[in-house]
Amino acid sequence: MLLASPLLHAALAGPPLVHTLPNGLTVILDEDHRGGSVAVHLSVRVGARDETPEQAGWATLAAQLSGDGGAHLPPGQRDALLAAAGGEAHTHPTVDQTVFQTLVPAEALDLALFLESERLGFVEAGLQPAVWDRYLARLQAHLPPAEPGAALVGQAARRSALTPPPEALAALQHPATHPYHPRAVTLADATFAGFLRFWERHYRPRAATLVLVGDFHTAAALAQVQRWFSDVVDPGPAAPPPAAAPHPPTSVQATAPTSLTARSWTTAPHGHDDEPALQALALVLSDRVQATQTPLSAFAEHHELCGHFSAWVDGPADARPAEALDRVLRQLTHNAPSAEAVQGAARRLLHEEQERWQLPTERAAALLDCYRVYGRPDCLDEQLERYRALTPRDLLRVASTYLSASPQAELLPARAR
Amino acid sequence: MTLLWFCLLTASALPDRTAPPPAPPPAVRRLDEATTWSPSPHLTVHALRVPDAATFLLRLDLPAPPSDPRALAATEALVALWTAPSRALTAIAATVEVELSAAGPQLSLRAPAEHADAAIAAWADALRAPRLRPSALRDLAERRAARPDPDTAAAIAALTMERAWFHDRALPAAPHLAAPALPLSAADLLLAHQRSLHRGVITATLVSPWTPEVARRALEPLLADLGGPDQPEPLPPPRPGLIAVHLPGAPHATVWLRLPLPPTDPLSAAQLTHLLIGHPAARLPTALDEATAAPARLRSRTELREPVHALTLQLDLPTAHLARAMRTTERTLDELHAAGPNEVELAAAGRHAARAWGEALLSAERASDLLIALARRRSTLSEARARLTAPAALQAAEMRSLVEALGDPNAPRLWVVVCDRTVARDTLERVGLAPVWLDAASVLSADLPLSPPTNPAR
Repeated sequence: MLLASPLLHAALAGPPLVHTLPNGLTVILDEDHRGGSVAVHLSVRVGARDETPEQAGWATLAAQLSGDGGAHLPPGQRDALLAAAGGEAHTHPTVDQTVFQTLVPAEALDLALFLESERLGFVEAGLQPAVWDRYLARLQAHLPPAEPGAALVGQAARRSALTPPPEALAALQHPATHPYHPRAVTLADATFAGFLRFWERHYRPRAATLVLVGDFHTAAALAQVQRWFSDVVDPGPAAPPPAAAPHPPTSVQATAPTSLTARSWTTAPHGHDDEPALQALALVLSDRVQATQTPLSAFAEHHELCGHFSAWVDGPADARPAEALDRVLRQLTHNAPSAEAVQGAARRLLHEEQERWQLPTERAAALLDCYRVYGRPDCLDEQLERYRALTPRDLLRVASTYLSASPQAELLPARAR
Repeated sequence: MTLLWFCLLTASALPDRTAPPPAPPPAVRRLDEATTWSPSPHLTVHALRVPDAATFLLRLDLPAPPSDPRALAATEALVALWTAPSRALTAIAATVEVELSAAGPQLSLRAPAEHADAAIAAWADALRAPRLRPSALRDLAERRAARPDPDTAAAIAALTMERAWFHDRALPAAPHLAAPALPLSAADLLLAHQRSLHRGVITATLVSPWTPEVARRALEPLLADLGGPDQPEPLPPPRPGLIAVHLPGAPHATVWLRLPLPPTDPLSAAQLTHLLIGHPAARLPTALDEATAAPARLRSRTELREPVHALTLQLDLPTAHLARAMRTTERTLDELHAAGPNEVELAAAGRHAARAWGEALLSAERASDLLIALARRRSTLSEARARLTAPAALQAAEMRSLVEALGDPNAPRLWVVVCDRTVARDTLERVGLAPVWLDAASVLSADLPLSPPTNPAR
């Protein structure tokens, strides 16, 4: 059990507290005095799925712009303030949410809350056409090639040959069939006024969740949150997300140099009962492949809308990597893996989660996940139980359910060898 | 009810947004000291107890092999032997990892803390009597045959950098890309295995929930006869220059710059990289942003293991900005050398280090990284904490000495650029460093006939 250690129990102050502010912002607080730092995560329910095809990349653009000033914060000041306090920040726009992750020393919690309240409540007031123009120019200077396959391969090629290209494949599987990142074609017609409307629709307290994990006292931290977010106005509920469009199977022939062959299937969304079995299946597949020294691996990821199971292989054509991939996948869809392999995979997943949740940033992400899926943040122990209960039949079932069909997306190597 | 009243009373005031709230300096926590002992003259063990550790992590720093190509190839091949999945380890979710560097291999055993005993027993068996499956050599050959094409710019940059910096003496950091196809027999491999474990001084670091007594008893059968009297050969001095690797179709330019560092403690090195590239407002990202108006992906790697002390900056950027970015990087380093870091930079780096220090024991990986970095420097956690809590002037002096070394006009700077020559040739010529051009394929074939030119700009 994650909380089996008495010392760890003593350091954590109890189950996470959930509180909703009058303006609709949900706050989750989880006290842990071991590290001396605090993770502050602000999740806004806006992602690639909220974009029309003409707005491709706007969720990413909004995330970037939100970090560059506000009504009370000159451009560039946010990064300097955070660095001076010993903190760091990362932004994660995905299909269905954008998460702003900040990690600060406990002494700088007030500063982090000031910065995140500025982001949620006051960036729009400070957004100027000049800032917008500068961002557009920067993005256009750094755009990937216009041809989707080349952009895809560009991402894959920068990675180690044996490292999964999940972003590359996710770009193929986007519900609106465009990648996360802006493209020239969508930026050419973008207007400042149009972008402001997009911002107003989504950056609202009712569409946001603030998670704090780390070295604070819950009552005092909640009071700090209430103070900093008390003047963030509630303009009402956020716009509902659009229905996901059906996505036809896609095949991309790489044009930039890569030797990757990758296939991806649509699976179950995050929180579905099949999620642990799919993750274990990816590990079993990777382990089995490792035993034969073939450079082949697999990865399972799950979003709110859907999940993907991706397998990829690398190597020259004369080694027939794609055939090796098909052979291994055929075995998995017809024969249950050994109990020993499943138990080993389950133990590894369990242990990785336990290890990860020790860190404030990872724990904040996990609590946020729990809240999004189950409507409460205290599901971590249940997740571990789901790994413990896995059987070989579970893995055979998910393999035959999801991987027997034709892949949803396919990446083929650039060159005939 | 008390909580509710507290919240109501303290939350009533509206926030003052006229100025950002102050952030006092973080406290530097006290961490329990590691225990050190030497089971033999050739082996030192540093064990750190983390009572609620979920992971048991044991690392062995092995000396570098002899410099002949056969010994290097055999050591590279050993990675396959050492990391071959073992049923006993897989069943308890334990793994063995190997990291190669010019300073030698590092072996890591990682397991859930509750299975630490079983993991040690299984690993001790594997190291004492490695079972080379009949098909192992064939698998290794097939793996080499199937090794990926040179399509990963970062891997190519790493390989080129290691080979050029150490005159082909270095163990490849990306072994699956690098192995020269020397014919090796099973006997060669087993001999190399025995030599690796029984030559030179070995440093072991352990992060576990165990008390020192339990750790000592548990590790005894595994570590009893490791190490040996021979000393590793010295590495040749690094060489400066600019090597450009042609990667057809590369969408961006991947730029690596390596600079030698003096032997220094890991916390100071971390503070140096923090003020240089550690955040968006740091020196180099700010200078690059001003010079190119385009975002560049920036990373760094610091190596502080005898006899290798170096900082490597890694940039990924649009090829059109290549020359400007390289010149800006040189200029930023020279300016830092000339004026030293300012007070704001030093304070930020110090606070970042204090925060990271507090989080060091939250994961076995971080605890082990800190422990091994200090052990390599023959330093302790309490000495490191003393440096973090030293008066600002003392910390600034330490940083200035590092910055001095970075800007030393006699210190070699080696550039490696991986890009598409057809796009980048003209812009690269403008840097004024007379690049030596290689093809990506020649890098992979371990055939670097390099005598990189002296950097005329320095």
